[in-house]
Amino acid sequence: MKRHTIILFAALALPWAASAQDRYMTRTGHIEFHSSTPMEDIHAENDKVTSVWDATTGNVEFAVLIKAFSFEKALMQEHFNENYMESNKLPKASFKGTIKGVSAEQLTKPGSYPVEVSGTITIHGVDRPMTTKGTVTVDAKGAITATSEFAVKPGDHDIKIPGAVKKNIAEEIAVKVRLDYSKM
Amino acid sequence: MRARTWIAIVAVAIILAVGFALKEYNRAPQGAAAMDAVLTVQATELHAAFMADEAVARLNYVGEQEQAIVVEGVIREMEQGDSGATVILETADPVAGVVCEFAAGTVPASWKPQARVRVQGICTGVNDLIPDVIMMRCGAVE
Repeated sequence: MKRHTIILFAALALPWAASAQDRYMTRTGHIEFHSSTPMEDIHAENDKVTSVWDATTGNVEFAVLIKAFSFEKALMQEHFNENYMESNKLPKASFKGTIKGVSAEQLTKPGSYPVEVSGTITIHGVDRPMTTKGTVTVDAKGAITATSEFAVKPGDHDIKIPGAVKKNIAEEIAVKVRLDYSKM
Repeated sequence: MRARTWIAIVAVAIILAVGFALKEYNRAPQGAAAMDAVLTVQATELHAAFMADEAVARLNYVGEQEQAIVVEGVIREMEQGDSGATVILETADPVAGVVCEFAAGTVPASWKPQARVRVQGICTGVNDLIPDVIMMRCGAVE
């Protein structure tokens, strides 16, 4: 009877254990954006991106605190938070979707895998569908890094740029993401 | 003579205004250590406040305007990054912590996991997925 209980418990726990092994996370993901116009260049970085990726299902999520973006210039940071992103009212941005093109098994071997990332990106409280390319790299030590680059239009997320500074901010903001994952 | 004086005054005023505007435009974000902290809180208490009611915790600890706070706690983990260091303080949650970002070379050499420390930083809120409370531009309070 006791043996049966152990076998039953093991049978129930096995799928959970297998799936837990294929889940990855980071709390120090990096995201940066760059706006380039003839008037000025604006660059900001955030090294506190959280992300969870289930390599079995491909489901991935990441979350960003808007106030955790660092700018070179204080005035840009203040305008970004107060005037454009309204970060007191809308403090977070997120992405929820899937990564296709790499399997859980491939993540156990060194290599570089081109992937397609698709899902919904939420910025300034506005959801938008998004599909982009990326790369998942597994190095010789087994460290997993996911990178991607894409463009975001402020207008698509109801971010209003006043006419006086319209020429200072690009219509498309270039975004780079780098997530160094570790197993959960 | 009077006209010349006025021209000189206006010219000096313009130079001062342009100088001020340029200085303001190029001003770098201030490190939290250089600001006056508005309050001191335990890391466990800070995290618990965000878990209980995020909106109220944001009002108290993030504030409408940027403010520095002091957080006291025990170091759970330290990570060295490309551009700085991350010090994670213990909370009641075994996974989530109070995550403090320091510029390169600003974490005291004596700081080790399990040490009780005081950090002055800008609280930016609680993240999703892994509910860390994020502190930016931190400095050690000796």
